[in-house]
Amino acid sequence: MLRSVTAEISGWGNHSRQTSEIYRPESATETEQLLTYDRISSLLARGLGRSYGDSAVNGDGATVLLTHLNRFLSFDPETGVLECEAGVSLAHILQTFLPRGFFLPVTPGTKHVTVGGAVANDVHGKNHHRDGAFSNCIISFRLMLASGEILTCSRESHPYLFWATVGGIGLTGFILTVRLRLVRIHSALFSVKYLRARNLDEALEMFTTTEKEYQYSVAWIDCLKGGRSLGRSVLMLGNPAPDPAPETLKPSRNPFLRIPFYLPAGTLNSATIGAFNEVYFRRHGSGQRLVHLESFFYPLDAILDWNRMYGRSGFVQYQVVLPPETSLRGMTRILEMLSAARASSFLAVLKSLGPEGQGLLSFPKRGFTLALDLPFRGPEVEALLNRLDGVVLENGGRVYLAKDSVLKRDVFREMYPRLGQFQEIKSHVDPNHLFSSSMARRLGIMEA
Amino acid sequence: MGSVLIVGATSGIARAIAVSFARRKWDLVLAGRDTADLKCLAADLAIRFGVRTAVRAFEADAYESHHLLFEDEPWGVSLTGVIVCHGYMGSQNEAESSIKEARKVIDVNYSSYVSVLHLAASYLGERDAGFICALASVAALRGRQSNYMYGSAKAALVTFLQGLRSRMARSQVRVVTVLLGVVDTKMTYGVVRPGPLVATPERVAERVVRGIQSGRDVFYVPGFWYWIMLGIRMIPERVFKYMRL
Ligand SMILES: Cc1cc2nc3c(=O)[nH]c(=O)nc-3n(C[C@H](O)[C@H](O)[C@H](O)COP(=O)(O)OP(=O)(O)OC[C@H]3O[C@@H](n4cnc5c(N)ncnc54)[C@H](O)[C@@H]3O)c2cc1C
Ligand SMILES: NC(=O)c1ccc[n+]([C@@H]2O[C@H](COP(=O)([O-])OP(=O)(O)OC[C@H]3O[C@@H](n4cnc5c(N)ncnc54)[C@H](OP(=O)(O)O)[C@@H]3O)[C@@H](O)[C@H]2O)c1
Repeated sequence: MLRSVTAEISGWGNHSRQTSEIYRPESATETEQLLTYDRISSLLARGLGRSYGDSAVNGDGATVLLTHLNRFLSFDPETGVLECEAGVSLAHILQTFLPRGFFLPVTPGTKHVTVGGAVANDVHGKNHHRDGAFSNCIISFRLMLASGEILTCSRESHPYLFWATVGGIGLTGFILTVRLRLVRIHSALFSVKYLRARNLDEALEMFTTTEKEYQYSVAWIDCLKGGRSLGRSVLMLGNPAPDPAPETLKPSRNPFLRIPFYLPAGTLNSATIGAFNEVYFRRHGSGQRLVHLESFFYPLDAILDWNRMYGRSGFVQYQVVLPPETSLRGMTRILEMLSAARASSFLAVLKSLGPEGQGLLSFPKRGFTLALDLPFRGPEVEALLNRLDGVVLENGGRVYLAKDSVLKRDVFREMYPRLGQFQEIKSHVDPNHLFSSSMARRLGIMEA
Repeated sequence: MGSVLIVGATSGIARAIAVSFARRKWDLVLAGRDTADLKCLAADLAIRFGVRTAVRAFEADAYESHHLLFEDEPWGVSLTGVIVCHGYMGSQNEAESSIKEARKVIDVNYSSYVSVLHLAASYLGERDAGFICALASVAALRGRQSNYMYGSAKAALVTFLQGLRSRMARSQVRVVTVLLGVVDTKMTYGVVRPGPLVATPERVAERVVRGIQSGRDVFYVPGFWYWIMLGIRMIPERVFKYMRL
């Protein structure tokens, strides 16, 4: 009988903590045992807990850390095909395979996520407009269903289950192993071009005009600017460095800073954020530089436990996508509403997204995505975000579940029109809803 | 480098020890009862470190098959080292009223070690080279009401290793006793709260491998347990027996 630890857990945003029974199986064999325990009412896999809201939390049920299922199972240097257990982190993949000249075709803004978590949220990177979401590099995975049966899912075999599990926030079962494709890379250096955009309109324009030339793009927005400078930003456009310098395939340095404890709430306020943004904009005004891929892709990973900067009350991240036609209007409205509510965001990131994939609950679809961090101040922030949800819906957009903690059921249903198909598959493979989460219950995902 | 046989290789500490040896380019034979899981570990080590790996079935109760571990040499070369890691904490409470549970604690933590360690001693003794290492525990050093069943089985192991070491002293075979403190594995998960006294398997594994390589007979891992146990052993029995430890 595996033991559990009863603990209060939350997402990366450190708010709305909930009590859960935490299990930590060491193997697929032990993971399977959990399906049969009488004392377990519901189960949910959890990776490295980098989702911000409650998607990796199963309050009043069992949350299962799969991070010890972390072995590489096979690797073919000819094709770059890697098979690994789902608890392997992207950091571990980079550490092992970067020196051999391989990189991830798609990576989110932190390498401290598991492969299982990346599949379950169908994560996207700075190259979504070119290369699509994480599922694009997935060949197949082995999924343990509520019945204990293990199915190998791919685009050809059990395709429905494949597309329900990709972006399926852990609700179809335990992803045990994943086969994915790595890409060849000749240098760990990226050549990055920095461009300053005076406002949102200009920024969106620049994404479109540079799309062909650059594989990777992202912009930091200074949210404290209003009026004609609303959406002032720095675009960072990158391509792998053309000229391979030897010795450059090293994973980069360890984190150089750790936030050792929760800073007092309010450390991040409009004064400190404003000062930071000024410095940032002056330093990264414009120009071109060679940058190690880790600082290009994972700027925040240099600071361990950076989420503690927001203090014990935590913070929310709000990420939405809006179609190209309504992006300017919708994002302007969102930024205005934030500034009217005096809710300053420390981090605001803008990216362009390509066509929608087939994941039934996947987030990305064509348009622009905006992500903001806001200190969590209880109901006040929730109400603000729910008002923003309204704007997003009106403009044909959707909220990213990996970041969400406040979305309302009816709004969610409209944003994710393929929910019905997802539910059908879910009730087929898990009729008793053994797999569940705080998010699933909040959003009524299992309810017709 | 040589090759090392790890018995009970699915244990949290054993997994980390396997990594520490593989990093130093040792080939590894992994023995345990969950061979499907060991195949994952074997593949991982081969991919990450380019070492040779093999998997063997091992069940502590199956005494009659222990000898196979030493007969079926992979790659046709002799083993250079044997590390025995399996273990069973058991339930102290249950063992107090059930001889079945008490025997299980004794068998897994002691009797099966006698079997494997004697086979290892004769195997390496014939070749007059190599090391034998067994994971014991600081729990062996003083019987406490909360887990004296496990503690006493480990104490028997510690004494056994002393004897075996002196038996092998004139050969080139070394016998290594590791006195482990608390380590964060499935043995302690949900029992011991995480804190500064709880070490990670990775850290422990590095110490174990370095200890073996540096030629020590007996050592504590982490080292500070030496001082803790020194203190605990100094408490007079007539006081200690009343302490709720
Ligand atoms: C600094 C930072 C930057 C980020 N940048 C991006 C970005 O650029 N793009 C982006 O898309 N996301 C981004 N994210 C979000 C992050 O990539 C996702 O939340 C990711 O899914 C987290 O992976 P995890 O291993 O931490 O999973 P968790 O957060 O622990 O879990 C996420 C979901 O996956 C499920 N899950 C985990 N493992 C398994 C498994 N083995 N089987 C079945 N289900 C499983 C869980 O049930 C849960 O629903 C960022 C997060 C941070 C903190
Ligand atoms: N963790 C600590 O704090 C601590 C402290 C002091 C000493 N130790 C000792 O260090 C060693 C390793 O500990 P650990 O914490 O790494 O252990 P662990 O993770 O709890 O693993 C225990 C191991 O023993 C195996 N095992 C149990 N019964 C078995 C049987 N009948 N036949 C074959 N294998 C059996 C298990 O196999 P399965 O995987 O198949 O179950 C598993 O490999 C043990 O000897 C332990 O007593 C540990």
